[in-house]
Order: sequence, then structure tokens, then C-alpha cells
Amino acid sequence: MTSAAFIEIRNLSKAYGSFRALNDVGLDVGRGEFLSILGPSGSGKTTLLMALAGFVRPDRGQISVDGRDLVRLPANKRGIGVVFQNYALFPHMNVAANVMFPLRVRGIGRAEAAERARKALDIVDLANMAERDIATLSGGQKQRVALARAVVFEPRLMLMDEPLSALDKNLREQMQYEIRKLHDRLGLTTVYVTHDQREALTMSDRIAVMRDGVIRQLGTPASLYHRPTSRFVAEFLGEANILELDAVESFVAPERDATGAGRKLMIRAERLSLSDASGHDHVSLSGTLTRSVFQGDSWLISVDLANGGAVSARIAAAEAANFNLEALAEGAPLKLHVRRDALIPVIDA
Amino acid sequence: MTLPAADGAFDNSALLRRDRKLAQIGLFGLALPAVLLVTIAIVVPLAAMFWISIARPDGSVSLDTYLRILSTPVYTRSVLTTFQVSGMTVLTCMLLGTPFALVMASAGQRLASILLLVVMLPFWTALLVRTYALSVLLQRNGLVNSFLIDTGLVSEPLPLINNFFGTIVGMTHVMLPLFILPVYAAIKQIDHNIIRAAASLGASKLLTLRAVILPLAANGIFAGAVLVFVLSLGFYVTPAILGGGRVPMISTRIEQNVSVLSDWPAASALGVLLLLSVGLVFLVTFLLRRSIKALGGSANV
Repeated sequence: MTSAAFIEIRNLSKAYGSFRALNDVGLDVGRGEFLSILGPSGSGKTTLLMALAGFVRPDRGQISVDGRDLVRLPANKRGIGVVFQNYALFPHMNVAANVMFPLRVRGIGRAEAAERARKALDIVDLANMAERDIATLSGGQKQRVALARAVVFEPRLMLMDEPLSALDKNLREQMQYEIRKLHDRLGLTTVYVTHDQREALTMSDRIAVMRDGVIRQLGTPASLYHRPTSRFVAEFLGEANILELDAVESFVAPERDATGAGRKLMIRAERLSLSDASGHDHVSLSGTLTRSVFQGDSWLISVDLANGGAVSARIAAAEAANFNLEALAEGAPLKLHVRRDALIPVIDA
Repeated sequence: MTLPAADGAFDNSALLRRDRKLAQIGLFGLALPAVLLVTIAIVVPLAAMFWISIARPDGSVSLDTYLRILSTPVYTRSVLTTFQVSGMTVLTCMLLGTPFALVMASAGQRLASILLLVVMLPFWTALLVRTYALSVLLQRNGLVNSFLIDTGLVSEPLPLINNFFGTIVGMTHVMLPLFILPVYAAIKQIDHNIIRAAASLGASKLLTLRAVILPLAANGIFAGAVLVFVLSLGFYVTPAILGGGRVPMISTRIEQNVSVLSDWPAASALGVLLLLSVGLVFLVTFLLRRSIKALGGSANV
């Protein structure tokens, strides 16, 4: 870990009674980075974010931002922008008054505050809605106001707690793009909490996957997706087949001899292919088709392997057509092919 | 099963309308006992009261009684006193109740339950018992005065009862729970994240209270104030006992007219005036709220 990290979190622990929400968490976030904390509910991701924001007092550990220790600093002195899941706009103020709030709190005059609020609303394309009542806004518009309010005072750090989970799918994808664009434009270090793996993969520079109060793996979206170190991360991020290490002939896991116990073999469903690309960088798995389901852009087929175990394979529409998958009956013998580097050993937890 | 083919599409609207009407009649049937009770126990007596206040012995109708009341200082003063006592009770309830509701809303589950119990405890005893208990506390040689004299804080007993002060203490005691409950409910309803958001945006606790919590609880405070005010207007027991005859409210004048003077027209006219006062309070609050709403959009720090 370099000392240049913008956010440094060390040995952070927080317990609620006997429930350990955070268990010795350490994390560094670089200046200007977009880092997502991904995990199921109860994994501690929101507790970690709220500890950064100052709403949760950790029992142990340190948090520093830009070299300054934060643990005992009250939330209103931290200068951190926070966007909440349910927007948390002030319902008794109109759009402009909401966005001006952090400026007025800081003693900035009405005229200047109004001007800066106008600019912030302009960034989120709501310049013409300044006088609107909060109640008249749609979910997406509310979230934009919340964004404008969180960036208008030029915070040094932005925290977002599942900001898009209340929006429908199309709007969510559009807002993912816009939040990332806003991040790139302002260069604002952002920590983004989500339970949606696709959202984390789409938006982040790096992702920290959490479970049971612990960061299970930290890395770029591609490295986490393609090279998970544990069964949990593999299954949380995508469709994963978990097999015994000896289910694939001629596969030798690097650590097989020493730590073979408790390890499994992971293959992503879409890395399995029907096309025969033999060569020493490929291995093939033979088995029988047990089920095939048409899912629009692809087929999901289940195959019982000859060496034991079963896999699901996602076959793209074009390939399915080439192999006339539709005509294949259940019980038909089948050969699946996979690149050797797509065979990932993972710990079974 | 096949449905018979029709020339056009079936039009169900007439049948659906009839179903709706039947359902409405059924619902009204459920409300009927209450409607009857309200009619017999409230509407009819009110009409009788109104009639008595305007009927002359010979059966003709006049406003004599009202003119007599409005030109008699004893009555006009008691109207004024009624509004003073009610207004003061609202004020003390606000000053004591709002902080209490705030503490209750921000306390943990256990402490909040205990505080709620404390608020509700007075309801477990009859009003008359509580009022006499207060008079035991507040009288010339009561507990409070004995304590003050024993500790040497005062040399003469303070006049704590049979006056305006005693009345307000008693009224506040009775009304406080009715004020706290709606205010507590309103504060409790505020989304916790809104308060967190205010902090994250840089607002101190005091500023959050002033600019966010109190404005958002305004509806509850308003509701509690109107409730306390309206109930105070017609309150009888407490001002009669703790006021000791020196705080003549409209309600005590009504009682005098009925049981001492046997002046039913005056009692009825005072009753009508009291009813009109309550109506006036509601009208004013309605207009006030409407104009506040019209201004509300640009509320600011």
C-alpha cells in the first residue's frame, strides 16, 4: 500500500451487539478513483460507507482522508458529499433551496449561492427546474437534485449509498452512465455502494466485494470477474460453474498439490463453447445435454459431465444456430470446449 | 367452455355501475348506527340549544339574549379570559411539549417507551382526581409552598392556586399529552436520512433542528396546537377548581346560568358562542395553512 492513497482505512471494526458489521476492514482509495463496494445485504457495505460519512462510529480502527484522521470528526465537519438511497431531499424546500442548502449553511450569500446552485443544476440538466417543488419531481429527477446538492459545495469526496436502486431498469442504466460522466468531469473521488454486480462492473475503476463484514476481494472489474479467488466472489459476479478440481482431465491447478483441499474449479458459463477449437490451450468436456432454455439473446444449456459434476453453458444465439441447438434432444451427447486460462481455481467459500 | 359470440363486445359498464352502488349502500349500512347516534346525541341537542338561545317566551325569534351577553362586561370578560387561558395553555404546551417530543423521537427504543408511558400515565387516573391532586400540591399550605418555605426560598406562601397561574398549570397538565403525541408522530415520521443528509451537507445539530426538523414537524405542532386550543376553549373542570372562581371561562358561566341562575337562554347563547369560536378557530387555521402552503415552496435556511 502506498502512502499516496486518498482514503486510508485501517483495521476498521464495528459490532452491533453480537453482530459484527465490520471485521478488521482495510481499504485504500486513490485520488479521483471510482470505487464500488459490492455485496449482499448485511455484508457491511453500507456500514463502511456510513463510517466514512461520519454517521457510524467504528469501535476500532482508523479512517483518514487526504492525510487527516476522521474517526472523531462529526459528519457536518467532514466536507463529504453523500447521496442516499431514497434521495433524502428536503421536502419543504424547492429544488433551488435544496441545492443552495450546503452553501447557505457555510455562510455563502444568497446571490452567490443561487448562482452556484444554478451551475450545479445545469450539470445535471435540471437548470429549468430550480423553482419546482420536490414532490412534483420524478425519481430520476430527484436523484439528479440529490447529486447536484452533493457536489455544489465542492466536497473532496463523494459517497453514494445505492443511489439508483429505486429506479426502473432503463433509467438506472442511463443514470449509471451519467453518474460516471459526472465523476469523470469533476474528478471527484467516489465510493459507491451497491448490491447490483452489473452496476458495479459498469461504473467502477475498482470493486471491493464484501461479505460478513470482510472485504473478500479487491480489484478491477475485469480481474474480479475473470479471476475470482473465491467461490463467493465468482458466484456473486456472474454465472459460475463450480467443479471438483479433477473434473477436467489434464487440468493441473497450480496449487493443487499443496492446498488442494477446500479448492474448486470455476468456469464462467459463457466461456464454455460448442465450437471445437482444439489445441493445447483448450480442453474439452464431454457429457450429455439435460436441459436447454431459450433466453432471447442466448441459450442456457445444462450438461451432465462424463467425469462427474454438471455445468451450465451460455451459448450465444449465433453459435446456437450454427449447431442447430434447437433440434438437440435431451440426453444427446455433447462436447463443450473451454480455454485453459478460463479454468480458475477458487477457494470453496 | 366457449362464450357465446356477440355482435359487438359485451358492455359491462351498466352492471359494474350497479355493483358499485350496492357496495356503497352496504358501506353506508355499516356506518348507520354511528350516524344515528351522532344525529340523536349531537345534532338534535345542538339544534335545541340554538332554538332556546333565540326563542322568546312568546314563541317569537330574536337576538335579544346575544345582545344582552355582548353588552354585559361579565360575559365579554369571560370570553376574553377563555381565549387567554386557551392561548397560554397552547404556548406552555409548545414550550414544554416540543422538546419532550424531540427527545422522545431521538431516544432509543427503550427510553422512548418509558417516556411515552410517562406521557400517557395521567390518562390512567380520572381528570377530577388529578385536578384535586394538583390543588393539594399548589394550595397555600400545600407541598410546593411548604417545600419553598422550609428551604427558605420564600418567606410567604406563593399564590399558586385560585388564580390564572394555577389554571394554566392544571390546563397544561391535562393538555400536554394531547400536544406531545401528534408532535412526536410528526417528528418520528421524518426520514432519518434527511437528518443525516443535513449533517453531511454541513449543518450543525441546531441548524438541522431549525431548518429541517421543526419545519417538517410543523404540521404536527400545528395539529397539536389547534387540538389543545379547541379543547381548552370549552374546558370546565380544571379552570373551575384551580381557578377558584377568579378565572371565569365561558364554560363556568354556562354552568352558573344553568345551575344557579336558571337562565337557559343565556346558557344556550353562550354555548352557541363557544361553538362559533371553535368554528372560527378552524376557519382561521384553514386559511393560515392555505397561505403558508402558497408561500412554502421557497422555504430556506
